[in-house]
Amino acid sequence: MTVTVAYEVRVQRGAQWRVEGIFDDEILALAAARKVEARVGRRPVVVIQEIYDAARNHLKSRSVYRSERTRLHEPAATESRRPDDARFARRSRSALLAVTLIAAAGVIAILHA
Amino acid sequence: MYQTEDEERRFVLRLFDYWHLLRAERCLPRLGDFTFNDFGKDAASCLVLDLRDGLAKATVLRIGMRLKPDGWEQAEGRLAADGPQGSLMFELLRHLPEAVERKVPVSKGGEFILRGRPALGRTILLPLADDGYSVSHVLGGINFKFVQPAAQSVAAGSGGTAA
Repeated sequence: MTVTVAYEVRVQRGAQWRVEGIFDDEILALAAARKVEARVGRRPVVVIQEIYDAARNHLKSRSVYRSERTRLHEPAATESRRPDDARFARRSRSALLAVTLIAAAGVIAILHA
Repeated sequence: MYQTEDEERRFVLRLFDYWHLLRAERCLPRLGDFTFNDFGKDAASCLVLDLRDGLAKATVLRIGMRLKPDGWEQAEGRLAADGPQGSLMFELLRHLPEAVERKVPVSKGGEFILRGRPALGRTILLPLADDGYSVSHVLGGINFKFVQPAAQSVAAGSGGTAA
């Protein structure tokens, strides 16, 4: 079997999510998350399930637990992913515009030739 | 404070919680922060490795009596890599590279053969750092129970008591 499942307990510290522990058992990871939650005060805590398929070199992640504070701070909790997505979208739009301009310039050059 | 069995029945969570308490705001806690007398009978199922000379030359600094491999009268100072296959110490250190590389506690469970009998166990490896960042030591703990061959398919689970 080439598929491995891990559960990462993560805590938000500033703008970053720090991994606090890695478990191969969901129940244990959830219990650990609650212990961490009791220690870190107001900081959001999540448990992320990571399924890695070595044969396909494919990693799939999803959250299986979010502390109450994570839900309250939903925008902050998802911030770490959104800027990347936004930057990627901006880059994609810029690349598309550049390709369109080059193609248009090529067409104009051919028409004038 | 280290939690008692009444406060937390799961051995690996008692260790995880204590590590987390001592680490506070640092990346990793120091070995000197730990008071092993607080561990009670859990100390017998724990070991500490010295990694200051690197992972390949990790040596045993402290080892609980349940973990001492057969024939190892003096375990302290010996290379962790010399731990004989089939020993509890060997099973405990299976995931040592991952804990050191990622600098986070790693807990794994599963089946293994101990003294010729099938067992289910759960380990936890907790990285420590003298400077708060670079891993200098690792605290490990393992608990297990022997199982009947027919019951091997039952998952190791998160509970159980140290044998």
